[in-house]
Amino acid sequence: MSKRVVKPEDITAKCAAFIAEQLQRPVASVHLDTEFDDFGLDSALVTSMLIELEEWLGVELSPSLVFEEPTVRRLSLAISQRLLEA
Amino acid sequence: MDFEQEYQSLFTAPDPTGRRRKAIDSPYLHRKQRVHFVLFDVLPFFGTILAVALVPVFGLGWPELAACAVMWLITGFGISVGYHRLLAHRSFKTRKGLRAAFAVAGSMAGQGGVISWVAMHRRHHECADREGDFHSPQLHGGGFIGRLRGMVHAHLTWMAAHAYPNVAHYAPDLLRSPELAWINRNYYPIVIAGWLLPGLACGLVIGSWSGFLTGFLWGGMVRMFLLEQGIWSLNSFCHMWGRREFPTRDHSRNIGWMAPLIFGESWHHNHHAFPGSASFGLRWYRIDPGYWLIAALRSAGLAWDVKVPSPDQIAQRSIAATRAANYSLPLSGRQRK
Repeated sequence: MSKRVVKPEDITAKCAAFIAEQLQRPVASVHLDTEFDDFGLDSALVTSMLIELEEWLGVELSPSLVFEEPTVRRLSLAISQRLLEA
Repeated sequence: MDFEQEYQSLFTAPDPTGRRRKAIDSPYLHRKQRVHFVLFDVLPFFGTILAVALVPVFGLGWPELAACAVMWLITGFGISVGYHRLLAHRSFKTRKGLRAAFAVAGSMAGQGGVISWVAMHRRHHECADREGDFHSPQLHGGGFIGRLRGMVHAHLTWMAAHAYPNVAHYAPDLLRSPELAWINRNYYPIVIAGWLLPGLACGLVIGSWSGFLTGFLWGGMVRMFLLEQGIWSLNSFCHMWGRREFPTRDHSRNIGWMAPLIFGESWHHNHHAFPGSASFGLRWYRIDPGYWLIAALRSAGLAWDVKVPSPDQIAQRSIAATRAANYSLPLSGRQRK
């Protein structure tokens, strides 16, 4: 499979859309620096978000990543870093 | 809702492409599962041994026995009526507060956070005894050894490390409830509270620290061990031995004599045939305490829209009726509408 170039902003937008959909709130209210926990997202749900990202990007991500990088911005940066290394 | 979801009472999210990943296996999650396994599945076994060993030292009075019985009832109804019949299959409706109380009671059983439990259970029905079922005893080969390995896996060892379901797919309804999401996030403190409360109660009644210890052991450890053995039997024995009455695609079985010990859940084959039914016994004379509680709540005006199949529907689904109508027999795929 050919590697796609994915900008961190794209990942950020994807995460925000997922959170907004799951919690049924407007995307604009999903702040990028709020910790997942403070949204009321638990480990079960952020694991689901990771599954969605894995499928979309075609890479394998460890579920521990969402605990090491617990905000949308930090997670997106970490993932885009990983894509560059891959 | 498509036929499959309706038939199985699954309430999963739509998956138009059919390509969504529905479960994930990862070493990180397996490590967390192992901690959970040791704390809530292995520890109660040793706690129970300790509780019995300490009887000659501290004695065993009514406060400990009452704590054990009361906590067994609370957590058992929490799992059977709350987690299972209300939240996983939505077989009746109730008030928000009561729904949350059931979720807390079920959490105290130490069998997983409410959202994870419901997601895994819906996947169990979707895949029942086929690839993807987390705890089927039927996927470990034939012969005595294969069946024995399957039984041990389904009863206990699957919990040490297993695939984790995509909760956004399997439990979208629960995720949207702020109360349930909160209870799911605070699962560990709730389980620990379920250990400490009976200790505290016995400590106060008996008036000593040894009372706290024996209360914790009997109301926390022993009752958790007893309830677990019952619920695990559904995954192992109730998919291996017992009676069948309906053509279903799985190996589910009814084991009547176990019903009083596990809140009516051991009418497990009935449950796989009618997953959306609040009653698992399906007949008035069968012991089904979980359904009795739901019926009592309905009488008190606290439960409504209680789903139970009519005698006609039950008769039509029976193997005899199916045979007479010349339908395909058990385990062959059911026709989609």
